[in-house]
Amino acid sequence: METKEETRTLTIDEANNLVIEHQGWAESIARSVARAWNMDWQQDGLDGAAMEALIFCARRFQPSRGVPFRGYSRRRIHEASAEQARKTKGWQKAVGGGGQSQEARNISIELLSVFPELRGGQLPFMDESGGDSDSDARGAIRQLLVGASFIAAKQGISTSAPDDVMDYKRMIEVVAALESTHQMIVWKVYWEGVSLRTVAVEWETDELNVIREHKAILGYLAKQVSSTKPVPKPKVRPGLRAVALKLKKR
Amino acid sequence: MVKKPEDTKIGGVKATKETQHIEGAAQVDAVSGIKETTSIGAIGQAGSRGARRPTRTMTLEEREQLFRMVNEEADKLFANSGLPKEKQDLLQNAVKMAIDSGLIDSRDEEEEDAQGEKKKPGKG
Repeated sequence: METKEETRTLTIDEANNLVIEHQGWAESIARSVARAWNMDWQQDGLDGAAMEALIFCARRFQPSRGVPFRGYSRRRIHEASAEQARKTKGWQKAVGGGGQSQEARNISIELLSVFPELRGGQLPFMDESGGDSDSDARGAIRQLLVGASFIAAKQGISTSAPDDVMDYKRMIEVVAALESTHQMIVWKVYWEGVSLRTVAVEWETDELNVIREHKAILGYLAKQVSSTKPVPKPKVRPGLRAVALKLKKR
Repeated sequence: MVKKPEDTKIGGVKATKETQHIEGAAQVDAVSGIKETTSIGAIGQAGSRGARRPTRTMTLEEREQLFRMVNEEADKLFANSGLPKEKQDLLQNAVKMAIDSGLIDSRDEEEEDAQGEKKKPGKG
């Protein structure tokens, strides 16, 4: 049972000192976001958004939980900067490449929601990675490319651009042949914009089960799309078998 | 019970017993009030903490290497997909933007750390 002392947030002075100490670091996050999307971190207001998020995190930070402040606040600051970027006029400007830069930005910001670890400067690896960092990085990048394909296909549908959808026809055909549980994961994550954690909560299962299933789906799709020979489709892993049975009964 | 006269008889004086070492007395804390009980929370599933642990954080210095990997993996992935080149480029750019947005220059971080130290109260 936690006591009040153990769940204590910082005093106003302590929080303000934390903000002063990390102001430059928060600004560097805002600059990174601006660089990625070819925006100005100050003119487009990313600096203000980053500072607001820093202050917000400093006021809520509980040192007794043992999580370092930067680890706790980085994603929140990145999220705030990215959200600010999306709202500004600078987001609409396409520098070179016409509308494609705008489209790529729209896809990338949704990709950050599906793979939130990217906000922390990390690729979506798994615990059971083999230890070869180059191979792991390439596997993670393939996941991101497949994820981006889903998002692009969805955006094509929502903007009523059938030509765009037809471009992703092969991807969609492969998804249509998946197990219903896997289709459900793809639908929820990429079409409904639900996080993997929320899917796990809804299905009353461990988040790790959903993460592993998601990775298996993307791995299979990457192989199927890039191969000329048919690849056996994945079966639902043991962690989600009970969920799969419940879904079939409904 | 009423004492009998013989119970009051004084016996012989015995030798003084050796005193024993007295250990330091511990501070007696104030008695705290009874704390309110709370309900027992649900037991979480095993392995739910730290579910997704990336192996390493990317740095800005690795940016070009990562971008090169994106190009190479995209070429392999979409070679037989029937996806037009411009769409492949679009997806590559989107992934690069998403990765790039999380890369902080480690030199910037070190500089900000040093400035943060200076800005602490009582220092410069």
